[in-house]
Amino acid sequence: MLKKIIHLLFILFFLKYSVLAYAKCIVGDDKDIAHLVEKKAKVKLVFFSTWCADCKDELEKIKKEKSTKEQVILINIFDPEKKADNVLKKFSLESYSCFIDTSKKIREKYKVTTVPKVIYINN
Amino acid sequence: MRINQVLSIIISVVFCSLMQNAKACSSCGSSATSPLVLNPDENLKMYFGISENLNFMDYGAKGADSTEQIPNQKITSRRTLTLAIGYRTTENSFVTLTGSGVQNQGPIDRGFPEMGMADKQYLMGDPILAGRYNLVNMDITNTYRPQVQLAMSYKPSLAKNMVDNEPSAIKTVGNGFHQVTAGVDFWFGMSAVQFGAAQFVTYSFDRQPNNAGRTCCGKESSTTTQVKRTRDLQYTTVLTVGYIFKEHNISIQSGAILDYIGEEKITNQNNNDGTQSYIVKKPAQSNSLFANVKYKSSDKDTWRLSYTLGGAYEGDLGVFTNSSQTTSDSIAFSYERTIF
Repeated sequence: MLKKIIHLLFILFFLKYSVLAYAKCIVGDDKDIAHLVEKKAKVKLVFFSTWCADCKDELEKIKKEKSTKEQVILINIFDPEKKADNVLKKFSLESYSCFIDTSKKIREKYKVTTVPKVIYINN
Repeated sequence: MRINQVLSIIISVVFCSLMQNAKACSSCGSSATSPLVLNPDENLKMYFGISENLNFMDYGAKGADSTEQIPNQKITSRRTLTLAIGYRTTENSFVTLTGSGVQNQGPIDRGFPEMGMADKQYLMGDPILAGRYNLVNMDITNTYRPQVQLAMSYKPSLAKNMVDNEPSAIKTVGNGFHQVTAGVDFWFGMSAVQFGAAQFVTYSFDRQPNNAGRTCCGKESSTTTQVKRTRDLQYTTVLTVGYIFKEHNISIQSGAILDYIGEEKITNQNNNDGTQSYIVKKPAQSNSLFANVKYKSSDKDTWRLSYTLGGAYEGDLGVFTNSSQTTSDSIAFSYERTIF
C-alpha cells in the first residue's frame, strides 16, 4: 500500500513539473498571422526559439514595453516541440498572441532564416 | 510478476510519455577540435580555414626521456587549408565532411642551417566524416541547462603517413590509422559567461602495413617487415570558457585540450626466419591551450581567429605531464558561411 502511495506521488510530482503551463502558444500558419496583421495599424512580429540566447534579450525588451502589447505577435520557430508555453510563463507574456510555426509557412512567408528576428509591419 | 512491479512499469511508461520531450536541436558546443558545427537554424553551411603550425617540438625523441623536449629535426612549419561542409539531417542532428591540404617545410639538415630548406612537400590530409546529435538543448527559461550533444566521427587513413611510408615528418601528415571517435559535449551557453566540457574516445583499427620493418627509433629496417601496428585508445578532453560581447557580435573563448594517446605496438617479422619481434611506443600525453575570437559580421557570416599553444605546461603535471609526442603551436583563420 505504501508503495502505491509513493508511486502515485511520483506521478503527481512529474505531472506538475513536466507540463508547466497550459498551452498559450498555438500552432498556426501564415494565414493566421495575416488575419491578425490586417486588423492592426502597426504590428511587430517577433520570431524566437527557446534555445536562442539572443532571443532572451528581445523577449525581456517586450516585457518592459507593456504599452505595445496589442501590437506584438510572438512566433516560435526552429523548435520541434511545444516549449514556447514555458517561455511565455517565464517572461510573463501569457497575454500576448503567440504562434508555433510547425508548418514553417510563417517563416517562409516573411523569409526568416535566423533567430531572433523582428519584423515591423505598418498598415 | 508481482502487481507492484507491473504498476511500476506502467507508471514509468506513463512518466516517459508525459515528460516534456527533451528533443533539442543541434548546436555548437566546445568546438575547439571540430571546425564546423551547425546551429539549430542552419541547414547547410561551409567552412574555409587556413592555419600554420610552428615551433614543432619532440618529447622523448632519439631515446631521450619521454618528457624531455627538443626541437623537431625535420619539420619547421606546416600550412593547412581546410574545407568543410555541414548539412542538417534532422531537427536534432547534422553531419559534416572535412578535408584538408597541407604544405610541410623543414631544413635539409637542422645541424647545418647553411644548407637551407628542403623542398616544400604538398600533401592531402585525412578526410573526416562527423556527426552530432542533440540529446538536450539549451533553454532560455533555464540559464543553467546545458546543451548535451553526442558526437561521432570516422577518419579513414588515406593521407601519406608514417605507418605506410618512410618515417619522415616532412613527407607525411596522417597518423596511419583508420579511426572512429565518439564522445559527449556539454555546453552551458545561455548566459554571457559560457563554459563547457567535452570528452572523446578514439579507437584506432589495427593496421597490417606489410612494408619495411621499423627500428626502435622509427627508422626503416632492411631485414624485417612491419606486419602489424596497433594503437590503444586515445582520450581527448576539451575544457572551454567564453564570453559574449552581444552588442558587438563578438565572442571570445579559451580553454585546454588534454590528449592522451595509448600505447602503440609495432610487430616486425624477420624476412629470413619469420620470427616476430615487437617495439612498443610509450603512451603520449599532449596538453594544449587555445584561445579564439569569433565575429559574426551578419546572420550568415562568421569569422574566427584562433591560437593554440601546443605542449603547454612544461614541468611535472603528474599524469598530465607532456610526453612522447610531437607538439606545435598554431594560428588559424577561418570563415563560415551559412547557405540556408
